[in-house]
Amino acid sequence: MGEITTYVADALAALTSGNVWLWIFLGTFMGIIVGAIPGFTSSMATGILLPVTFSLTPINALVFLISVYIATIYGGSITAILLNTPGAPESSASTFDGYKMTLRGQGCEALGVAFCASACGGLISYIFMLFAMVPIAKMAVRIGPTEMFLIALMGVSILAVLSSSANVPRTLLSGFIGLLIGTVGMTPTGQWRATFGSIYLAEGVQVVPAIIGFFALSEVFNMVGKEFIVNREVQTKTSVRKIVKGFLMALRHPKTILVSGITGMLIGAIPAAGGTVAAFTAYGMAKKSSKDGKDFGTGCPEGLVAPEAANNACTGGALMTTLALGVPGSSTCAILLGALSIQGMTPGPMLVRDQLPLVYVLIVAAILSQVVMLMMATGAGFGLTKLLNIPTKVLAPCIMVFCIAGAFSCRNTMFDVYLMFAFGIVGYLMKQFDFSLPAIVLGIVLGGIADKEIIRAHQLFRSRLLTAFVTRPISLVLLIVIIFSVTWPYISAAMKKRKQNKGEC
Amino acid sequence: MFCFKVGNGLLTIKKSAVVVVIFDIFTVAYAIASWHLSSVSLMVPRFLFAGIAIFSLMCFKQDIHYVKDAAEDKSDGGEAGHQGLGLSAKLCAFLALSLLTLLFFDTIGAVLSIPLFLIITMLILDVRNIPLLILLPIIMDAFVLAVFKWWLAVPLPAGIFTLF
Repeated sequence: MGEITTYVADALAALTSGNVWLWIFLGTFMGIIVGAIPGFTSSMATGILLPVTFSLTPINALVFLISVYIATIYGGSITAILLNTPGAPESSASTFDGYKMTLRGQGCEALGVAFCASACGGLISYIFMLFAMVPIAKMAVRIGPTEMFLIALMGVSILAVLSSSANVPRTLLSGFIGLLIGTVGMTPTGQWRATFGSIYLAEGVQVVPAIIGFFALSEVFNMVGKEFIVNREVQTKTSVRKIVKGFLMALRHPKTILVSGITGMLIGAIPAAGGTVAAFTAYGMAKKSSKDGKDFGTGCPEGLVAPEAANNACTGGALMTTLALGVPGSSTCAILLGALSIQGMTPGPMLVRDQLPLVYVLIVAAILSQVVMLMMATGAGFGLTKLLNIPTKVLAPCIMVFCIAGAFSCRNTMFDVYLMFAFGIVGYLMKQFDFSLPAIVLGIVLGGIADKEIIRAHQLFRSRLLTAFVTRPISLVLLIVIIFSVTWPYISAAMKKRKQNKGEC
Repeated sequence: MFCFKVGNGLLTIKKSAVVVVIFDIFTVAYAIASWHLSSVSLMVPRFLFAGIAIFSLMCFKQDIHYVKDAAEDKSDGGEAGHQGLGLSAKLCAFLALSLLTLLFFDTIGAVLSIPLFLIITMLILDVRNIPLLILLPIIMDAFVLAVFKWWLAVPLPAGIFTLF
């Protein structure tokens, strides 16, 4: 406990001495704006803004990106509640009761409920993180190269759990291709691998063009041809007093906030499960357990509290696995992993072991940013709806320009821009046919790690390499998780079929 | 969906197979480019090749169908034909223009290519507001230069301006 107090005190001191606050404000502001625009996900926002962090200190860069990440969830709720159009997928469940409240003339109260529940959910997960990081760090020293290799594989394979059985091959194929792209470049043994004679590929495929291409550019291509992102006919008026009234409405449901917050955090910790799954799960749980469950879906504030607390708590869980294990809890966290690498840090157990003070600065900054977000989101409720009136025929070319400049700034070469463009086209096609974009990007981020660790493991265990995977307890557990995650969609589909057949009989 | 008449039947291939083919071409190119490397350097890639081969086959199994009765399949093909690759004429023009901009970005320079790209793209996408067509490219150009070139010190290509 004393150790944690010292880290927290040091983190607070670091936060007051630097210009971190500026980056928290800036990240929150940009995150809310981007999050409120449907079609702009948190991964797209962090992807586009990633080049901004290149010249920043590691703390400022990561605090900025984390603020953007968390703030997009807030921003997404605004349009979900006011326009029935979730700005981010994580806010989808908020439309059930939030939009119904707006239709009843309680749009501002609904915003207040959402902001307050989100802040509480976020605080629950980050405070838990404060206490969980030291034990995780102690466990992290037991993690060797075999475990690290399996963790890298797990990041991709666990995506399959959330796919339907029909989509598992596509998700895993995307993940494996990503891993293969991640291994391009100079090998740990000093050989040039699959560089196709290009000197630019000697350092490997850069994460930034991949992220911008797969997430941002593919979305830009998707926008072309659409007139507006949102239906312009929907309009609403806002008032601060009513939003504050909504805060109090949310605080009347402490049990729902707590349960949904913990649920969101746990789901967020599972790689790729994400805020959308967390929000829907929390909504379903709250509906079952609440005495007002039958009113859910008709504009019940508790029905808005549950998904909002969960989707924000999810960011804490996702960050925990990202920082502690190096396995991104979401596609946005994959970008954060990239940001860590760009800042010269090795994501995963080594980060927690060697840079625990920095990790605590990030957690404390995330807690403080919740307060900043609560204030800024309240203010944002007024002006944001106007942004939605920008036609995509103006928006898409502007974003394209940012994508080009962002990819170029990675290494100041046009090669990365061409790479981004190619990834954008492939990403667009993948999107059209339900291939997993997070899987391929996770693969690119984790490919290099998997490659380096397996070579380390080979040097360490030599002929006993295969047996090391099953004789080391953590490795064995990870192996079981990987096998389970790949086979579960098939098992669950078979079980469902069997149940249906029994019912028919 | 692509349809091919084979004997009395019809071979139908879903358009999603295009993505699998792109992935497989990359994998084969990777394998050819790295075949001479030591076994240690190829430990992970070999494992991935095997996985990609298995998952590609599984994807193809979902995407490729052979129907003996060709008449029966015609309706299916027609229905799925609407899905396409999602490439509309506007998107194709946008892609072509983007590619052209990227190819000449280095030669022309960022200062000129950004506003040119914005004006032509907006025209292609049916923007007919003259003040917007003039002002937005200038504002965006100034913004990108201010943020990337001066603030972040990214040496965006100067192109023809290097002559001056």
